[in-house]
Amino acid sequence: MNQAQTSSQTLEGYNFAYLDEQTKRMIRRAILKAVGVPGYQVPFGSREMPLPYGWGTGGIQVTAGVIGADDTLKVIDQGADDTTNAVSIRRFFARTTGVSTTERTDEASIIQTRHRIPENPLSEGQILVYQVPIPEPLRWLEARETETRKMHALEEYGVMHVKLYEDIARFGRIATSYDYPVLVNDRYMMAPSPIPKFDNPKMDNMPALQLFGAGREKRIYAIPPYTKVESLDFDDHPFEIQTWDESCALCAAEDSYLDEVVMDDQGARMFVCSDTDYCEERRDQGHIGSMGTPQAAE
Amino acid sequence: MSEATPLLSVQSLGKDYGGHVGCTDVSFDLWPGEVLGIVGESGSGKTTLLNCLSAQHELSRGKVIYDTRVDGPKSIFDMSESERRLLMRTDWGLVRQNPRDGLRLGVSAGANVGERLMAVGARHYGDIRGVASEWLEKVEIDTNRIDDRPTTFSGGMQQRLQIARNLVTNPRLVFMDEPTGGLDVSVQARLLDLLRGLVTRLGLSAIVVTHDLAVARLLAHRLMVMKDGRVVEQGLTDQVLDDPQHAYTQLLVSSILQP
Amino acid sequence: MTNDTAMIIAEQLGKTFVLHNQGSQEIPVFHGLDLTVTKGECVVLHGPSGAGKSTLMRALYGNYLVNEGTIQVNHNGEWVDMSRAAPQKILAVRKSTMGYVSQFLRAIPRVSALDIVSEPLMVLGEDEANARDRAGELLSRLRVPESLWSLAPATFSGGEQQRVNIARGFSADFPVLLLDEPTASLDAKNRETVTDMIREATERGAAIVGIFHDEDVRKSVGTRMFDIKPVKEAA
Repeated sequence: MNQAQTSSQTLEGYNFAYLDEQTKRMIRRAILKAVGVPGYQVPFGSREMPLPYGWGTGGIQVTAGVIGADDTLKVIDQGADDTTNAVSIRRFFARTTGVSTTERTDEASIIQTRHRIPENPLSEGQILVYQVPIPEPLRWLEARETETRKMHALEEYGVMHVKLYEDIARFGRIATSYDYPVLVNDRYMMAPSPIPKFDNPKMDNMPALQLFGAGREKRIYAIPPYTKVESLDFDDHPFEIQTWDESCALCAAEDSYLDEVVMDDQGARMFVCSDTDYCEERRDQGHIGSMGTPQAAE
Repeated sequence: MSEATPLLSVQSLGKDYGGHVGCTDVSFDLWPGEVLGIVGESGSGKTTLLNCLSAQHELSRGKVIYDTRVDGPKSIFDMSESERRLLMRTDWGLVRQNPRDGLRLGVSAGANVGERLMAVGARHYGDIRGVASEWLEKVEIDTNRIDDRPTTFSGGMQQRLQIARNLVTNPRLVFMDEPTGGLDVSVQARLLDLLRGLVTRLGLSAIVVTHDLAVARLLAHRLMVMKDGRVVEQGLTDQVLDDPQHAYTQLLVSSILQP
Repeated sequence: MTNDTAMIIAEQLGKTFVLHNQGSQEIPVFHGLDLTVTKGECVVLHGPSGAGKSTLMRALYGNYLVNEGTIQVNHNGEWVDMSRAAPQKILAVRKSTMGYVSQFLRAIPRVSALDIVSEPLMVLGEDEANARDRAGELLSRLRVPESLWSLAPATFSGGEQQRVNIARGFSADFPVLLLDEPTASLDAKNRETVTDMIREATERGAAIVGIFHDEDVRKSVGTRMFDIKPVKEAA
């Protein structure tokens, strides 16, 4: 499980990390701009990738742009390293770069993620790459790109609070539970990608560099290390993260994001840490949940 | 009512569409608390004029100078776009003929009224809702409908909602394009009464475009009559309607049907 | 020419209507007219029908334009030429100096009789309760039943509408009052009441210009006659 895989040579006929050098430089220029203006969506020349839109092409291009031979890569999908997509993307990079891969958060220098931030706090020098479907937080309200660009340029963000107001009027509370809009560096409103709002506080003042790639929409944005990130709310309806009555059935964690797993046709269910690496680490340390079994020696 | 500086000063305004004149040679001053009516038939240029005045269109000629709260008189079209857009959201109101063009149909009445407040930084849900509720009362919409979407409202209610949405930030100048157009007569009467009351009580200035002379007589202190893109006559409303000087005005006035 | 007690000084007034849509037909009404009205006067405009009495009155009010001459009105010490003043100025004069009781009440839908009568005082900044009390006093004096006060006058009889109009004109104690046939649709009792009201206004120092077709009323309230002779029609 902690194997570091290396290949002695990358796939023949492909450049390092699949994309040609000029493309990678173009991506890095976009990233530099994005880092220079935190939260601002930088258009970039998104390339055809060997997988369809909607499967993480943006994240892959960002990773391809920054990955070097010395890096160690972790890829997760909804917190898990072992789902089909995570496995495919990890293998893609292994074959096109020959870099080491890992499932341990604290051993990775680059972590590409779909829809979760790892539970273990990240450190300086790490890069978190998010896969983004819709980069524009105002798109639900304003379909015109020309208009949303103006709204960002002129800081016309009042309408975002209209959405939150509607939620409170309709449901008595803010109902948005993922892709919860944030204000970055007191200036740009940003869509953090469909991570649960549970993860939003992790983005604030994070020591690692956060990069966001949207392949279909052709946008890259970034949050530099130690940047202020605030989730939108009202003074009398402050931002709250999700909580569970249960703890993780496998490792007894009470502070991680739990997935609900239905176990049989009678509706029996268990709650398990979404972050597989975090759960495993805890189990290695001896924590056992209600349905967990003591770890056998490797 | 007399102030040293006009609220709005329009100088030789003109707007062309290619070779066609939309409106031309329009000059007037508007003072705080004054309502100016612009009347004319279809094609007279009155809507073009309103759109130019409210900064919806660029001008071909002339200037529009507005007396801003903080910086005094400034030319609207020489301002930065962000300044202009902020002005339109706070100091100005625009009531469109079809309320569907001036409302967000996908959100509740309360959100429609509260939007401008949220746009200028209001962050307390309870307060915003309270202000929205007050305004619904002022425009005679049942406050129990605060969470209903405008699609469930009648035409008259939608129009009143549009007015509330515009007035919530206490604008000093409101532009209205045929505010009673398309409404039933009894609904019109109610709306006009509301507008008269609001204008007087809030000391608003307004520019109202209408083809209906009765509406003009009721709402406007002054009148401008337009034909073929030009102002053919202007003056005190009752004087223009009771003692019209220009041939076209005389024609207009004499054409009204008396029920 | 101006002195302390003059309220209206109209000089060399001329008015001709031009009907552009009827072959530019010209209809001269009056020419070379001079009229001065001082405080405490009630000037009765006198002349045959069509001579221009109403026209002159409307011109004084700024409702009609004149082709020649000036109309100076004493607006709280300031002289305003009603024939040339800016609309704001005319409205200011009408608000606090010059009241006008026209022949017909222009009924606005939904506005109650009480609101119509109390409006001039409210516009001057008077407290709403006080304005309504005063309005009620006048309506009572003119025998408009209280049951009608909260209704819009559109459905009232001609006489009732006229009395609402009069009450409105007398609510704010204007320094200048223009009255166009105020007693036309009234019965004897109400005619007498209105006559009393006009006399009271004259006694408090108002300058009044009036058109009365009833000779008794004319004799009762008028302090001076002003003749308007019809101008010979242009060929």
